[in-house]
Amino acid sequence: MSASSYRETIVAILVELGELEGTKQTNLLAEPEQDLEFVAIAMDSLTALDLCVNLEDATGRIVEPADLVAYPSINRLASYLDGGGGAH
Amino acid sequence: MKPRQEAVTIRFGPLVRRLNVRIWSVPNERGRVICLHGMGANGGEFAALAERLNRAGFEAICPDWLGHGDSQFLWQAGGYRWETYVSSLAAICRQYATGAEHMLGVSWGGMMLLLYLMYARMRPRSVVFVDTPLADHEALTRHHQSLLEQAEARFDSVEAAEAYLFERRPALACVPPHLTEYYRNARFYRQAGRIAMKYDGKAIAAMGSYLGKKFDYLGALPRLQCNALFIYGESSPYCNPVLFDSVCAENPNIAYSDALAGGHPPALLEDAQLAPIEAFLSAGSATLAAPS
Repeated sequence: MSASSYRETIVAILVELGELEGTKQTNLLAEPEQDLEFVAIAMDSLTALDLCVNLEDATGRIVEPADLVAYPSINRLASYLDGGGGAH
Repeated sequence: MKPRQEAVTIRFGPLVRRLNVRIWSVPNERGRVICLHGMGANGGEFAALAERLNRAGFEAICPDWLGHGDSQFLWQAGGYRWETYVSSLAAICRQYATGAEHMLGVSWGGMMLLLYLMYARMRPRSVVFVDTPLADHEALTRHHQSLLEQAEARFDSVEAAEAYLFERRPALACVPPHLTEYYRNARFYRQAGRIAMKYDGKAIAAMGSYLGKKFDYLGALPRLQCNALFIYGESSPYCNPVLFDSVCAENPNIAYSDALAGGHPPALLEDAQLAPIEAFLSAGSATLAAPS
């Protein structure tokens, strides 16, 4: 998977979890440079865990809750999962 | 018997942290129990429970959370987040979970255990949650304030620190005589020439950022895939029998008790509190112990 594939996957999961409205999803997918901090979504703890679980299922990569803190936005997490380490 | 202590290294992004784990082993163990303490305590607080579990044939694995006991102190509140604790537990389970272990969490430790079980694919043989809040409650704020004061208190001697602690939490005084020195060493340490509680005040302060926020984990309980017992002290504010009755009726793997004797918050030092836990874990191990 590429960073953009990881990014699309993260966006799709957030939509499925009800954390992104349709317009925001469209904008995020249309403009790859656009980023979104997880804190801006105000996910609760159970939703954050669901994001980790669904990401693991979709990508085969282990995603721990602390990764959401170390890489706290869609693009940073995608970059990290792609092996880029993510920008802190 | 003193436990042996092991270090578990955890990587959080670019950061590496060290957790201390206390292990009370027993020959030919019939099972393993991973015990998670609450805020303002550490794994040493399980010594009495661990000895009892040892006698029942269980090995006890008791980590100190970050900022507590002999685990690394971060000295900044920003490092202590629920995500960090859950990921710490993931690392502990990678190291010590065998696929047939039991797990036990007290108070905040129970909350982290519940979150972890929502995330992890592991399925313990059984889990025990002791005095674990499942929804926001004003008592949490009072408890937090008390812990903050205890974290900031300094004393000239261990005896003075102990007297202060026992005045605030009398149930903690019921230490079995042969474990007195162990508990003293586990509970207090010398910082800048004075005696303090053995946890980082910043870890307690960080907990405050979660207070006042609405949360409700009761609805997530049906996602538990193993036998689970929730036990609360007789005067615990955290148990809602009406809601638990409803959850337990629909989920036969979940049980609760709101009649734990021996004071609140539970100190897990007295027979009245240790016996029900041992009984539940032993029942959960019955099929393991049976010959195949």
